[in-house]
Amino acid sequence: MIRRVQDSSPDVLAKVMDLGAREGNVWNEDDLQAVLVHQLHVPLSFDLSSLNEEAGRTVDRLISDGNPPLRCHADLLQHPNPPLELLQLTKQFLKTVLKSRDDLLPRPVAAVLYYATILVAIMRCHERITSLDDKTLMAGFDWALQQPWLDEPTRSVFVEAHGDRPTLPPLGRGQG
Amino acid sequence: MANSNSPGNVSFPTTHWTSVYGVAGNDASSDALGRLLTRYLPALRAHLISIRLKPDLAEDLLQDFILDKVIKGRLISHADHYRGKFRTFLLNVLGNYIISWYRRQASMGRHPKRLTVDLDEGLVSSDGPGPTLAYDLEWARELLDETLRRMEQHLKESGRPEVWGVFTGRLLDPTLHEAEPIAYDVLIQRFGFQSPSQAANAVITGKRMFHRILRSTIGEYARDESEIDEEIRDFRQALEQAGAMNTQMLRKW
Repeated sequence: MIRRVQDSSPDVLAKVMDLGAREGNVWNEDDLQAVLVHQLHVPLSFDLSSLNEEAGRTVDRLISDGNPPLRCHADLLQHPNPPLELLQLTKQFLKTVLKSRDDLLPRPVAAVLYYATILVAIMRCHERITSLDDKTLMAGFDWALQQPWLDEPTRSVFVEAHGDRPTLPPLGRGQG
Repeated sequence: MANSNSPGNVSFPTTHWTSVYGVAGNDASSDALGRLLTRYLPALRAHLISIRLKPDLAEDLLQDFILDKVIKGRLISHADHYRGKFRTFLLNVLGNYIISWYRRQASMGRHPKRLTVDLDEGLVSSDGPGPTLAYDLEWARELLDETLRRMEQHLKESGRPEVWGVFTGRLLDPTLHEAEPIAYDVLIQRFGFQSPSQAANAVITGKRMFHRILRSTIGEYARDESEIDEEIRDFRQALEQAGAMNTQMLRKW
């Protein structure tokens, strides 16, 4: 496309001048499902090794032991017996992303994965890996389920919990 | 996370015209100044048109101005003693040159009124932007054009076309053309990002690089960081002011 700075109105030029200072994620509502699906297929070692060296080694060990395979976030969320340690590291990674100012992942996508990871730990490991209280946690699960851009496998994680409200393990157990 | 490179961490060596002035007629200073004037010539032209000079005469005057003030090195000697902003300095020198040029034309028997456009010729409106606003607006236009040209060239030459692709696809084209932003899926396929964080990093890099190049381009004529800040504020103000005026009127000049 030919750039048209020369033909643009002053209003448009003012917006162009501010492009470098524009804050926030550039992905919009229409992109969220694509971003989520893409993120679900990012190798766990790729993301979690960014936490620290030890985490990287732990992830490599847990992934190599995985059966069925545990290559990516999607594998972890759908795994019948996911390693608790891997869920804790994943939650820690997502918490870091949510706190980051760089918006490396759209906040709604990071939040959905954050709640899904916590929920999988509750449903399949019977462990609570967060210090969030019950009310906040349930509100988070409900919010995630209402997002229209969820892919089916991720939605199924929340539907499973919604249909049969999980008994939340008490605070203080397994919190990462 | 995905990319450990510091986004936008790139420097652009430039020749600052004020760093070489002090020796009137110095080749390096003349070259630097010549490049600046060539780039921002449309701003000077816009100023002349906005004071109702006929376009062909505006062109003649500009050529004379460049020849006399730049090629003969006289602008540098003026600049040596000037402490204000370069754009203001240039406008002042041009203003003085216009007065002496008019006098020369009058001495040659050309009546000043014949040098200007009548309002009823419809080329210029009496409620169009003032000369300074026209000058500022055109300067800002050239500045942005140059910034984008340099950014594209740098990213392509440094083997990072994905940063330019994401910057234009998600930010620049939707702003300039009101185009739909290129979908995330399409960008992933086109540039092969391995993760959303890589794609986001490309966006962050693009935004920071645009900001840095904009500042370095202004830095070729501004004296320091605070003057660069001031320039950006002035341009914002001028663009807002011009935007509030009738767009149709603006396009006539």
